[in-house]
Amino acid sequence: MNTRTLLTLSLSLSLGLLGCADEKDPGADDPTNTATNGDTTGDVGGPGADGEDTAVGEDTDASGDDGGTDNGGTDDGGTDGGTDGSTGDDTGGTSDIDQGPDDWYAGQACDLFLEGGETILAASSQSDAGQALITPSEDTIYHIERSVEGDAYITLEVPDWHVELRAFANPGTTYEIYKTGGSGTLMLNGACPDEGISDQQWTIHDWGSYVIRFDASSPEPIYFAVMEQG
Amino acid sequence: MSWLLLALAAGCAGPPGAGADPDVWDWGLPEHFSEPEVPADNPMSAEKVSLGRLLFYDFQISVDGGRSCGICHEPAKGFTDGFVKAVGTTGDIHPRNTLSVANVAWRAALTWRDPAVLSLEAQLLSPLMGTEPIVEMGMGGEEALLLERLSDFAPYPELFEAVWPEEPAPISLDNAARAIAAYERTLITADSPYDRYLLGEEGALSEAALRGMGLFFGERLGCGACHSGLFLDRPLGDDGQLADAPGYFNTGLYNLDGEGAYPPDDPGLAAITGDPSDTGAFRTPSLRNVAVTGSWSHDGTVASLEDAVDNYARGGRLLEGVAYAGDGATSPYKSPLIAGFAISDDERADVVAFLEALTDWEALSDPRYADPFCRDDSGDPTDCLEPLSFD
Repeated sequence: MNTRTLLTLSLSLSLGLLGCADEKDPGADDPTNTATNGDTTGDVGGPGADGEDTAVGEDTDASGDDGGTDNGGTDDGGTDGGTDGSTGDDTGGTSDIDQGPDDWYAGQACDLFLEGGETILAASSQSDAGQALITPSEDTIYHIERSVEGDAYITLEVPDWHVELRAFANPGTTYEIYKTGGSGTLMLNGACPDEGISDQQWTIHDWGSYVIRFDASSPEPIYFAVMEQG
Repeated sequence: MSWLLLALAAGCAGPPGAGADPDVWDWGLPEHFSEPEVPADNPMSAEKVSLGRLLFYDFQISVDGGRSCGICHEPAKGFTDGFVKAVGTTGDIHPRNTLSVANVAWRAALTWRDPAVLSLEAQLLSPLMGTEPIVEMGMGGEEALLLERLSDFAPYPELFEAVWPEEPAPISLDNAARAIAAYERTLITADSPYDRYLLGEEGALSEAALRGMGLFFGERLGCGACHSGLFLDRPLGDDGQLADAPGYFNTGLYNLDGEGAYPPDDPGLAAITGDPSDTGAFRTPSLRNVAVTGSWSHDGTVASLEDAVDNYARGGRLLEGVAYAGDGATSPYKSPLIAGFAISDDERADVVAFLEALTDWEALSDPRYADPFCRDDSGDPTDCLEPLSFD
């Protein structure tokens, strides 16, 4: 761990808090949505609130210095130091749901989610993560299957340099990516009707293989898609 | 300044390169290295090596400009690519891990599983032009496009003509392969702490590495039974002497069905020989620079050197809860040399310290092996070349 940069993403979304695609920017129209999540800090409020807070992921800890997770939502100061999973403390509010760009990638991811995924059996240890390889694809969403309870590991092979990746997962999925060395921005995207999807964007400078750990707290099933932008 | 002069401009003193006698290639080897054999029809020359270096790093030799030889054989990664399994320029995942090309001039067999691939000039056409098992650089059927690109890129006409002045059309696929092969033969790593130890330098190896070396070559672990010789890639024969030929072994990484099966995309040597008993047998790779060539094994699925040692200690790898689960230790095709051994955590750390002492850091950062193209932030080459260093 001492030589890798750890980018931890932790999404903790509640289906009940997520809006629909036809309700773009609910934060703008219904400021009470923020309150429904109990968020009281100024970190949430979304574009509808101040027009500047473009992503809940501004708090995402991409440095890896503390290996911690700052879920990008309201930070109550108690979650750094690990992959805190779906505690709900840092849950993004309804106002965040459509802060991710409603672009082609989000739409494509949404379509893929509706179609169902290609099953890949994840490893139960980091050592065996090479047994489950995926590559960025605009046409594939993976159903990450776990053979045993606990964390699940796969390896993402990024075959290009200096690329912007977009990762989409179903709500509640908590995952971390090892040695990305890039800066990530966590967003919650309302492109998919009803459920929404988590939407993460980060820069990969160096091609190669990157281990992704899905936290044991993630829901079953896990759906996950990674696309190369641009 | 002509491209030829630019390409030949001396950037660094010292070998490898042409010496005082232009007909004699100065390998610049330490005394424990012997000169490698070079094909009679492809003698070394400074001009050819310089041209080969350009071609090695030139993205134009892949169909979509996404790959070069050098990007998949990066010096800092021990002349490998850092992937679990190589990914071709069209996104296909190769069934195997990328082999290092360091010290390839001495390598008797060039691939993981085919003992018949002996010519570097011929082998490199496989990733360049081949479509099996995957498309790597994608130039298969695109030879005309490749030659057009080379002809249109300013340095090449002059450089090819300088190397093959007697040929009316020196820009050819065969000549490009010869130049790349000549350059690859100069990729020499011979100055690791282990090398300095072999040359008698006191203190070259740490105490841990010395202990690890003793374990590595000792009877209990027996690693040297497969990893002996100067490049630690040659087995010992029954007489205890270094074998004349490379060894192919099933190291017990897989046992899908309890009967020794390997993943269907790569059964190893058996795919070449048709002999089921060769299932899972792959050539013993060199361990030089092994600390920086991860991940490891023929398919890159061993995540750390510690894991590698543990697999051998167990007498084969146990995989549970994955698609290719099974106990490699019970494979009927496993080499009897993979019998397992007892090892403590401290001893394992010592063995890893020895493996780390096989890294020639100077060579891996040697500017003579670096990408000669100037590139912008996105990695695309700009219209300049840095002076090359072979004199």
